[in-house]
Amino acid sequence: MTEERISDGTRKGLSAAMERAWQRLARPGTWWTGAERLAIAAETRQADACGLCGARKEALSPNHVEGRHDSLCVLDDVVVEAIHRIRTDAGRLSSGWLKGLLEQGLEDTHYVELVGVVSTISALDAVDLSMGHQQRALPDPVAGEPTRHRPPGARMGLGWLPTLSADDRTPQEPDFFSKYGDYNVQKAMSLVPDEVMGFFDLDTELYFYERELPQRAEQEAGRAITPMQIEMIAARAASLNGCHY
Amino acid sequence: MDLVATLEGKGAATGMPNGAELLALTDAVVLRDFANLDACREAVRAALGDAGLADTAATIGSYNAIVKVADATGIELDESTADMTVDMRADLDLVDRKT
Repeated sequence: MTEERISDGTRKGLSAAMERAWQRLARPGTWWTGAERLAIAAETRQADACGLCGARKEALSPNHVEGRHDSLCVLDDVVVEAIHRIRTDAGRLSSGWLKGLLEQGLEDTHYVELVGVVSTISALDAVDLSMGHQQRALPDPVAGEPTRHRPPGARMGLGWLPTLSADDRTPQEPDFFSKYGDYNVQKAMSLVPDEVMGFFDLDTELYFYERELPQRAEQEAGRAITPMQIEMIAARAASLNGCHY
Repeated sequence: MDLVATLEGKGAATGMPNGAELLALTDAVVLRDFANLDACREAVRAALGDAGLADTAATIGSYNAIVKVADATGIELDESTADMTVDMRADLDLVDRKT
């Protein structure tokens, strides 16, 4: 069944999900305020024009190039380093690099939420660029305090950071496992469960729900390009981004 | 689909309908090739219409983001996915990630 679309061809469901994502960027998160989340989003865009990031990208190893990032001078240097590397060279990040950031005082919870913000604005901007839309101005921040909830059941064992398994989830945490699946990619940011919920609210419209979930078949039928064409685009984009997952 | 051709960006060799147009736009967006972006976008629109372009854009958006989630957190392939793709990863000469 073909989904309803707005005038530029975008599915209505995707259009609504993107609007929710823009609003989420401006709202207080779990560890960052709305203004801080928008500063992270702005710094993510700034990374594309960073001379240090450009030089590192060309180098055999990013560690061979030293210098200062061309930043907006709003966030701490350690936060800027995290944002710029995730945006421009995520495929060559390492556990040692992350350990260095944490030793400089960046909290693991703040890092995970930052990953979600960088990834969200990267998705939204890539859609606009693909469609030929002007880059959208960031929204105004929404006042309020972060919730600061760390899942007590989160533990090391998957990747470089503590994560939450379905068995260790408490009622204080949203059940993203049932809604979006429990593959590693859904667990990756589970130290900040609301970021998982927000990111996959967008990503399941950009791409698909996991194969086991009932929404998937309807989604595949509603696309204007075939699932194989979608997988081809996904594979190439992942390859260009140096993804190792 | 020829996966090697896909990963190498050789769209016409992928064996997929409109493979050349779809991968050219993917490359132009991810590599920020502004000189060719407009032409690549219009080629997809001409081949697949506005809806086809929009769904292509959505996929590019997703895979410009989900890869960052995975790579920035160091997660590994799920066991079930790894088991299903042993031969494919061997064909592509992919090795396990060292952390």
